[in-house]
Amino acid sequence: MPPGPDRHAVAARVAGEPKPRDRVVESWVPSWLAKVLIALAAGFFCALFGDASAARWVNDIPRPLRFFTQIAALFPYEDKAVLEYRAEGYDCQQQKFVELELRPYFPIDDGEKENRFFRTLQFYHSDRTTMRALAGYLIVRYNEAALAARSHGLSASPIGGVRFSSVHIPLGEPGSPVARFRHLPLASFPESYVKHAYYTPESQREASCRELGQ
Amino acid sequence: MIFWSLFRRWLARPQRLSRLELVRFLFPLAALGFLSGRLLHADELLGETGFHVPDLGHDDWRQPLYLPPLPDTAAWLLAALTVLAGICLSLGYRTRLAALTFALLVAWIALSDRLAAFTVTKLTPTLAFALFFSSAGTRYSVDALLAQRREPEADSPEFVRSGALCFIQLFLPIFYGCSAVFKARGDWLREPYVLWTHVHDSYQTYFAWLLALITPLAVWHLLQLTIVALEGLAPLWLGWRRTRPFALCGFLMMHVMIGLMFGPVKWFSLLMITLLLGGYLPDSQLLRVEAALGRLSSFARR
Repeated sequence: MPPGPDRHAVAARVAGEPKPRDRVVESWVPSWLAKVLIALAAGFFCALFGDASAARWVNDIPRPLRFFTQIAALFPYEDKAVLEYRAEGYDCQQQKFVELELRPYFPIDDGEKENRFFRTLQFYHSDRTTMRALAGYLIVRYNEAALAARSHGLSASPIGGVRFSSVHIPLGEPGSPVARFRHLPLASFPESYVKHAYYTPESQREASCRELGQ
Repeated sequence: MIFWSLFRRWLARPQRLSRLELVRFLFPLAALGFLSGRLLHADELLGETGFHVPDLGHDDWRQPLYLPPLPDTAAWLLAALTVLAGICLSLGYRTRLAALTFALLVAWIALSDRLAAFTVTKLTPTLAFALFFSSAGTRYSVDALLAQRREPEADSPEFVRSGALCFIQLFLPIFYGCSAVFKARGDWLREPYVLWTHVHDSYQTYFAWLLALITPLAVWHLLQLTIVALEGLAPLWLGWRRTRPFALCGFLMMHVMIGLMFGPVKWFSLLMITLLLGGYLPDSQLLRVEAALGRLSSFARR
């Protein structure tokens, strides 16, 4: 009896399986390493799930490794308000706080909540060490730019301190018309929307302004 | 023991090589797309010019490892190397070296600054490591073109046994399942309009704004429940052969909508779409992609 078409081979082809003559690329990973990699992958998946289910054992994973497994928390909470962060500088000449344009000092993702200034305030607003470092960075960079502007004959006043604030813009009732997001000046918001997160103490502001000869 | 033996068989089954190559080609582009806006300011991101959170010097969840800022020149060099490694990986040139370099450099970027770390940057090193341990670059790549020049008679392989592909195929349902657990522990089952509240802030695109204006509130609630069900039961939807094509369409639609509605999240969407296509695109569709790539590569050889 002549051999008919190999029904298994045909079915395998339709199902996308290799024919006997098809070349299959074998893994270059040796068997012992494959076992290590399987164990690592299993550990990764367990850590993902442990993180999601708030298991205590994940706290025992070294932080730099655990960091790469903290990826599945995608928007788990509702937004209570549109949250923005702003910076003001204490103008030594006018002796009052004025809002700072942050783009020159935090150019990455300007105006978005992924901006580094925004993220610093979001994560570290209660950490004084970081807030002081942020204040120092902003004051130095702003004053460098102000001095450079002056040397070119432009009027620019240095700052003796900063104030960081969060702005909580209410969303309105569910179903109410959604406003187009726009970046508005800090002064345009009612005071009730604004919460100060950090400010340079008055004594320090005055001392800095004196040092700057203002 | 039966489970282990079934798992070993599943792991060792040949799959179409184009799955792996699809991921190799698209995933670094999604990661680089995400990083591009940041690497353009490498001195601010990694160098001494920009602001960096100081060494908090204690066990702090926000600072898993303190890596000091680099001199600006080194920061620019690292950025250039990252782009080069990502492009080489995508093109399949010195694929394994490129994958390892890309994994290490993006891991450095993610660890060096919590402020710049997002799901894309945290996931990229893992995926690039997976590609390093795989046979990615065997076909549809510069490496393959060079190999064919050396041995013009050699057959082009169509199938691969790849732990990396299996990793991606397992990762997706587990990731979605975990995301659903986070959502369930958060507000998604308690508050009806979580999705609606997320279309107001700086992520909002023009499309999201228009959609929010014309979509009835009840639809937002329905979408929210659909997403939880889709993600929460992802192991079932993606694991069962009969539901897999519908699940694939559902997840692809979800990521397309996320990309359209939340501007900066588009790169994350592109990354997930890449993994979904590489992991779960039906073979019949893959064959079409392969045919198109075959035409392209014969054109390149001419």
